[in-house]
Amino acid sequence: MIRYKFDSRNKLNNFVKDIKKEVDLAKLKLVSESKNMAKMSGQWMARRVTLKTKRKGATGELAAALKVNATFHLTTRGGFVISVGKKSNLPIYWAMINYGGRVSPKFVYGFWNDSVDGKSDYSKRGGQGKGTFEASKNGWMMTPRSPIKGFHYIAYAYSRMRQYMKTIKITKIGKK
Amino acid sequence: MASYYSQTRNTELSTLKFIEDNLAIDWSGVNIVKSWGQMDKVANPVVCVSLTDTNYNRTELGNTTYRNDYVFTIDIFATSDGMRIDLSDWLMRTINSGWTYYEVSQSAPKSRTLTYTAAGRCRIDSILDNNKVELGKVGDIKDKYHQSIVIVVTVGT
Repeated sequence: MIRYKFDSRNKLNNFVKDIKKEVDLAKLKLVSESKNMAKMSGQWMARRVTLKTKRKGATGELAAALKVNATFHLTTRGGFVISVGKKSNLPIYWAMINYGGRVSPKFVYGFWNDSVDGKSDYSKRGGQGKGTFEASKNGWMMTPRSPIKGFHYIAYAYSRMRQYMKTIKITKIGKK
Repeated sequence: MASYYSQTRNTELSTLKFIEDNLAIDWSGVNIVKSWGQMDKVANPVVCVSLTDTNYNRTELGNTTYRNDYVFTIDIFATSDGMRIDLSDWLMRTINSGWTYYEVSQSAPKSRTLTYTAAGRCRIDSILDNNKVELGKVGDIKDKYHQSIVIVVTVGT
């Protein structure tokens, strides 16, 4: 008859401690990885916004806000969620730029500021100017005609991150 | 001489054809368009289906061929909130099991007649987004019942 004897003097305690250390390390890694992923997601979104913006002289407010406020969370089902952050930290038009839509048909006074030599150019009315829109009582009465086409920057970042996540898995398997 | 379209263009046209055919059977008075510019020229309710991105993935390690992912955005502009929910739910159920992939060709470069030849199947890889769009104060009344659906589609046999 073969009997096994287990000696648990301090060793069991060490084993539990080691496991705990491993779990803590894994948790730490997850947080840092999540931060990296959030940063990457924000960069993908900002890149999409920047590339799709046609008019010169854009403020870059949305792209900058996305870089700072983007979050990334792993879900229990093995997926992930990308969020653009709190509404209070984003420009009010973030949803319009993402999904697209029609702006209110009420006219506004303003002009396309081409900013020639650092001075505002009031002469460009309607779609003639190529700069950014500037609301001004001294401008022209302008009515939006065409709907804004959505950039879908959230979906774009999500699809790019999916590709990236696949790459990570392959690398990890390769290392083992 | 007949000219053939790329797989990307075929996927877009196959998807559009499938949704258009099924809309005609199950719904009446719903317009379908494939670009944002066309969308503004027709009245609500309108479904706008467009291929926004193509992701090129390697089939396998060491292989030089691609297995593409196609990202489609489907915008539904309904005339009521109930219609928005019904139409988006109907659409998700309709496309759920996939649809026929066609190779599309033109008999002559300027010909408007397209020939569709079944050559595989389009399948939904994942659903990235399916939400009501809330534009707040900046949005127009026409956008009040707007649903945005984003899906990733793959092509296979």
